[in-house]
Amino acid sequence: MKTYNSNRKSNFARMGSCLLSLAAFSAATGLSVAQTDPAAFTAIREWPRHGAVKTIVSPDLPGRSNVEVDEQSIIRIGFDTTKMTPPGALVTGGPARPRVHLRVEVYSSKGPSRSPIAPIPHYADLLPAPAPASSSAGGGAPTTSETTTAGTIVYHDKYFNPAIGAGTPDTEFNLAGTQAGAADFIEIRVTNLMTQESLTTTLIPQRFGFHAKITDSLMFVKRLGVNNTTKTTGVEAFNFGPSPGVTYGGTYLARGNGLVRFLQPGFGVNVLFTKWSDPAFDASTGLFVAGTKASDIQTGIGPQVSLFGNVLQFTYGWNLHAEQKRQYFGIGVSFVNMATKLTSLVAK
Amino acid sequence: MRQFFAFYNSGFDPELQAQTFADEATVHGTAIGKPIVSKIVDVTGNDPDKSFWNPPNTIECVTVDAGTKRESRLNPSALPDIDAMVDRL
Repeated sequence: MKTYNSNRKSNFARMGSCLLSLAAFSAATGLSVAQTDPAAFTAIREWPRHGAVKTIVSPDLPGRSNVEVDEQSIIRIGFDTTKMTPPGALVTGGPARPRVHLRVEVYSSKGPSRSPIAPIPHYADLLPAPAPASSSAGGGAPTTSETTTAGTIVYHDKYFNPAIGAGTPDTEFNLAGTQAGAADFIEIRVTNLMTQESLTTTLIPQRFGFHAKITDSLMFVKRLGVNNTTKTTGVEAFNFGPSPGVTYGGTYLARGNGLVRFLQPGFGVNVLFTKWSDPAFDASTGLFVAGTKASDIQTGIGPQVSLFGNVLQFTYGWNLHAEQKRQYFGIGVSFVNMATKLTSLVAK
Repeated sequence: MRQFFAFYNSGFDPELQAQTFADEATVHGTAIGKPIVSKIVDVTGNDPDKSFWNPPNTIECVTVDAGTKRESRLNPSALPDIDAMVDRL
């Protein structure tokens, strides 16, 4: 049996010799050599639901951060073991010891809170919190702990030591429907615990593409086709009077085109409430004036387009209650979206 | 009876790595005249030998002599670590 062991160890020695020769050959030919720095062998890629795979970080693209990713994507972290330093003796004649010992940590930050993401397959696990101890004294109902914990993060650090079958498997985590996808930013940290060299990358999840959204609107509506002639027949003008409503539609956030990204267009169907003969909505208070009856409120509907994430809105529609000259044009804003935009700008 | 256990989590750890530790313990024990029964244990299962495991971390290597736990080593990085455990058993 020892003979088998000796043979196996000599095979490992030969394999180590081959790796060293390969490293020397690579150095001589200008190819990459084995390294301990995670930046030299780590690649982080985004697998979007639609479209091609995007490389975020690789040995050819080191040190990138604040990279925008789609919140529906899968982030995959891969390791090229051919570029890792193989185990070697720390002292002359000593046993081979690993030079690469990886820990993968992923954190999501939302506002002031920062929390680790788990599970990360092969590298981090979330152990559930222990069940609260129940009291059997007195035979009453079991009591529960007043405080609860989310669980314990357990890291499974991985050695690179082919001699003992220890590898560094690729891993991934999904952003869709998770707290990571809703985070302000995600931090990925790959550390070689042997050398304390690390690779840190931050990702910013974004809602790319078209997303349905219900939005408030305050349209200033102009009745079309009203002139002096029509006024004599009892048709009254309505010159950009305020009309509150709601828009059922969405906005499009472009990923590549800078202009479209800036404009952030949207479209949908706008439903508004108006009173053409006597404006009953007071824009200064945001309420219908006192004495307004439901029968006084008229409903308009029409397609809507918007810019800047539904902040600035345009509509062309029809008053469903008007007998004639029922078409109108409207320009308006969404106060909710405007406040959200301003809040985010102030926060920056 | 001398025993060697390599506890691993099949959800995270390569079984090959645990098996390599177990094989090394068997080979080295035989070579130095200490026959050892080696076994790998998936901690996600219900193996009765899980009583020797100190949860939650893996891979944990444990030596047991006549039913008594002797030594434990978490996530050994090289085969000489296993040899040393068997030497001390």
